Amino acid sequence: MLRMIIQKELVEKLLNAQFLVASAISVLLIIATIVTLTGSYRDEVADYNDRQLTQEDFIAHYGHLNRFGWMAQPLRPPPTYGFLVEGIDREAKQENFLSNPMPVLFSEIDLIVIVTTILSLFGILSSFNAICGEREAGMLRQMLSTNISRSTILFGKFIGGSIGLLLPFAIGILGGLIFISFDSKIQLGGLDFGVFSLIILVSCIYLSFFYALGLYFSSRSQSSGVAMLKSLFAWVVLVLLLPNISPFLAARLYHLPSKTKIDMEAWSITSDERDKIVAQRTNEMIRTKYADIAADLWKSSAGVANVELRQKLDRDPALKARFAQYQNNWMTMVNQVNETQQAKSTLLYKDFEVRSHYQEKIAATVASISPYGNYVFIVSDLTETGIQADNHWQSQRENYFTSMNPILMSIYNDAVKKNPRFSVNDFLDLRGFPRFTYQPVPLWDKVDSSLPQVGVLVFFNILFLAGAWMSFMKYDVR
Amino acid sequence: MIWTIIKKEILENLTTYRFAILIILLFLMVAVSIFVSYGDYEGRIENFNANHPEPHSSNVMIRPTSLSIFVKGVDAHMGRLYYLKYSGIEVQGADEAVNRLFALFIEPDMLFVVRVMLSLIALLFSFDAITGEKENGTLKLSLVAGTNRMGMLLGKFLGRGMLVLVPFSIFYLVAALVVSLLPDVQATTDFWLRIMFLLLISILYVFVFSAVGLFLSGLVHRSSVALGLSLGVWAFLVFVVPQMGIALARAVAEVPPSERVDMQNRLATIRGIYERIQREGDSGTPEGWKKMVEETKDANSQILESYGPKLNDHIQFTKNIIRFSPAGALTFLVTDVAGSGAYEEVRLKDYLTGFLQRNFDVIAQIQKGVIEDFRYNRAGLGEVVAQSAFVDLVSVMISGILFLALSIVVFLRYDPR
Repeated sequence: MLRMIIQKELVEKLLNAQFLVASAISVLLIIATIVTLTGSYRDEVADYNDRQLTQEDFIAHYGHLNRFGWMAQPLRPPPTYGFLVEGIDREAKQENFLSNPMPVLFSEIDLIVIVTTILSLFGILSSFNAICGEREAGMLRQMLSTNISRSTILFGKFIGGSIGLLLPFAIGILGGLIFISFDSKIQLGGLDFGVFSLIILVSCIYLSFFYALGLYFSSRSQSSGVAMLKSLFAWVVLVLLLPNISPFLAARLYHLPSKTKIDMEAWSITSDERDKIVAQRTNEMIRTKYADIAADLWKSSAGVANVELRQKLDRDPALKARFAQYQNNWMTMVNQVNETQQAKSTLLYKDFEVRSHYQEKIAATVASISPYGNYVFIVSDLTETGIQADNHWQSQRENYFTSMNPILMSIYNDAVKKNPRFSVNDFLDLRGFPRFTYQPVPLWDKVDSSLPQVGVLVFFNILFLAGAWMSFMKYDVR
Repeated sequence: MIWTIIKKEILENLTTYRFAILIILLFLMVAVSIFVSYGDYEGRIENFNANHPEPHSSNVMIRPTSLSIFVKGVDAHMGRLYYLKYSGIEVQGADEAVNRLFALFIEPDMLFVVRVMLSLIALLFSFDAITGEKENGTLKLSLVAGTNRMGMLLGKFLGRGMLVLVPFSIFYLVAALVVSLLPDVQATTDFWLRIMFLLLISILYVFVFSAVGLFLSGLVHRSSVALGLSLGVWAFLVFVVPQMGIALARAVAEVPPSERVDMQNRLATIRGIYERIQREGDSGTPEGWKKMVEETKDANSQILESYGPKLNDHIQFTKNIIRFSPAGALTFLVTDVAGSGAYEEVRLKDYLTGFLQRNFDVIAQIQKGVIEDFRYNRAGLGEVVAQSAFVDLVSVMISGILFLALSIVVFLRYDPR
């Protein structure tokens, strides 16, 4: 019996001109989006290669230790699934003076926008009159006068409607993938098809939630008009309101100082504060340990003798030895202060990072109240365009710096050994230096991090379906 | 006649469930938008107060505009610290980059409320203006009673539009009044002038979507079909056209990403420094420094001169695509009027570039002297309208006139049976 109801729902939808037009538009929209994003993706790949070449140009012609970190920073390749999902847009971060302001005003259309906004709205429109519409048409009374149970009708409508909703999405994705398969620059493997399957599965759960939501309000209303308004109200709150206010709400609930303020504090710690401490300790050192040569030391600047003093030191070897001892002790003290101040600055940044992540977590929790938030997190993680991939990239970048610094220093020290006059500004042959290679997030890590959010999506489905079922059990069909 | 129909439309809808639910939704969105946007503005003001450099510094920063509470646009990016150096201009990373969720979701400011919510509500009030009457049989009766079709349509257009506009205007003005009393808000005459202009633009925008709803209502014979069609058109105009426009412009653009240009700039600077050190050793001479600075400046200027016009053309091209949608044109119009749009951003960048050029020798330490005091005034309303907003204003108006004309055409031929 359930199969019959599912079939009826599906056939009804497929014979409905409105549904067909909306489905055709959805399919075209998905394919057009994939085609457009593929163009951008190709440009991003070309740009990535170009930036790599610029780095190689630096290493081959101007490579030197002093500015190596400024130029030869690890580069992040465009996300593998950039032709499907935009995720965290680098241009929207406006990191450079000449950044294009347009991505701040509008985000690009991608699979997430189509599913979360357009298809979810389509889902609501397909389901808001599933129960009350049939009641208004007098069909519901007729159906219930047969031996079909209310549960069968409801679940049949839910399954049939959800399949109907998923069809244009699956066809669109398939069309898009066929287009991509003709692109020689994009090579897709078995693992990638695994990711696409997971995206389709999650999209199915997300869209069926909106069908369940529409069913719930339909079975709680006597007229289609009221059901439509209630469903739209819920859609607006869940899709447009809750997720979008989440980062701002988190920022209000958990206040962070600005990044500029932290940068300035860190700068002050490693410059002004450091200079003050060094001056204070120098005074102390001279007064307590080097009082005998204090008069000469005050004449020198930071332990460096001027011409007059240098002549005096040349004349008096004992004074010269004492002066050299002071210079050594002074350098040790300065290095210690530098290390302490650097550690303080690092601690400040670490603390800021921890607090930023906490604020982000609050925002993510608020966003997760809505299925929209969960869907965005899952799909951006699966396509490596979201927060998980960003964290993965940051940690790889830090690891690269940590492991490469000793190698870089050893290459430099070798050059100094060969030529004692070799400086940090001299050309250093770094052509053999290990280059950074980005390792994508392993599929299991993506799946693992997405599981709780998939669980929340399934829970939302069950909740509203159960609500719809309870309401429908008591529904007055007259 | 028109006034009678307007009155009828208003009275008929005032006590409905639809009116109640949509107005509650609108109130909720306006309240939440002001609450979160003011919090965001406070954070930016705090940042400005704590970090804005002393006068005559080579680091500069501009104060966030109070209107960014309503329309944030690119104001957060414009309000960052700029470091003016001989090697070019660098910007401080945005605070929003710290919490990456900002990049995943849309800003829920008043622009969002107007662009997305108000247009949806306007459509939901007008989609059944004709089909609803036909289904109830009252359309036939009204026309038999001698009601003029044109008058009837205009009455419905104005009446249904006012059902949205009156509550919105009240919420908006109360919100503006509350905001003007909050700390750190500079409620000057210019602020109020722009607030009122933004309200007028919103009114115009609502009428565009009321006309869209009327047109679609006159195109079909059942309210359920009109509703589906309206929501489809709404999603297309509000989400698809602007977002597809930006993706399309990026896909066909011949402008390289700013990261690549920044990298080329850095390489030019490093090359200058490196060659100077090779020539003169670590200590260097003032003449050598001057030569290096000038070489670096020339190399960077060449890169910028090739990139700048391309970027401006790309911005213009993107705008032209997105303007096809009233929602896109509204975004440009409103952000420009609020002083937080692309026009102001480009203007600020030009000003910063000019400021660096004027003070280059002092900043680059080629000559001793004092850097001039950085004073940047945002563009006046007249300048904004003349230079940028006028095109978008006309674009929104044309959309309204077009849809109203189409709805007149379809209603004049409409079969009321």
